[in-house]
Amino acid sequence: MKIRREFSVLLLLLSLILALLPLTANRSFTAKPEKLLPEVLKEDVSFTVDQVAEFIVREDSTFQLIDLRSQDEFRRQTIPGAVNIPYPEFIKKDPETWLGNKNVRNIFYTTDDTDADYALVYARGLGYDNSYVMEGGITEWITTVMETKFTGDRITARENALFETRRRAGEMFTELNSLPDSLKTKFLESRKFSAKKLDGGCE
Amino acid sequence: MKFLKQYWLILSITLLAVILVMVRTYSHNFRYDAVRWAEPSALRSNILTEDQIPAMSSDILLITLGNDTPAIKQTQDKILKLNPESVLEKANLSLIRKNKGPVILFSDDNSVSARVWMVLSEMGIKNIFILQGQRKNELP
Repeated sequence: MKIRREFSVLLLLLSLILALLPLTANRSFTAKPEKLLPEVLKEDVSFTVDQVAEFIVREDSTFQLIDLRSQDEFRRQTIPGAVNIPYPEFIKKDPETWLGNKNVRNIFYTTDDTDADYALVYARGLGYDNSYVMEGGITEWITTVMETKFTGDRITARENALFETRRRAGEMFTELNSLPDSLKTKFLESRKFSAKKLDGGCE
Repeated sequence: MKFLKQYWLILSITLLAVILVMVRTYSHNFRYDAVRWAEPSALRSNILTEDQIPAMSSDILLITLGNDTPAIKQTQDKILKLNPESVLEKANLSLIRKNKGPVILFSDDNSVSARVWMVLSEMGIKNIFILQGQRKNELP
């Protein structure tokens, strides 16, 4: 009788320990909802296309552009420096591979915004606070950067700098996207995220 | 009474464990398995157009986020106008959870409804959709 009782207490203690264990299962949101929602609705989780253009022109290594569109769309139009992770793949695989480097700001974009917004909440919910979106996606990039025009007689220094950044980023975009298919494929293959490379091992 | 005295320790531990499990299961935190709750967004099954609404069951709760007024026929049973930040307030969350039919989010800025959708979905709220609005840059 005594053994049975002790065994029951042991089992119950075990169940108590299990109940107290944190839910650290891979890919479950760790943030609190009431903290996450206001955070993702703030403006400072977004970058404008002009800011992204500046990162590209400066070859800033502290940011990583992540294109969440399909591979076909990525092949057709690619922003220089972007890597391709189609959105369905992004949510299914371990995000540590892509977002693990905390010194890099990851900027998501798609054709417009929706998938990038999902990815933003998903990544931040999982604890990757280095995640951002590019406002308006590639549609906004085309409108603002590629179709930029200066009209008028006078231009301020600030406007001139902005115009120059857009022009240079636009040139880089055109150069990349006008590569012959064979070269472009090679280049884009090299831009695919590789877990091996991130591990630092030799292939 | 004798039984209670004999097993008070076991019973109290069991009760404590049950309370802890209940609190963790039904608290307003996020649910286990983020991929499962995010999947409708990858399949696009969480996106609705205005034409699909009449075919849906009754008890629709339409939530308009922000000050934008939806340019849709307001034939829905219930319409709730909220600031996106206040969606998680106790009263609002309770309304969303208790609604028997589909919950539809609307905002003229699709980004807002997409972000709110992901948060609510990861909290375990099923049957929640986004009404695809006119994009900001398409507005006249």
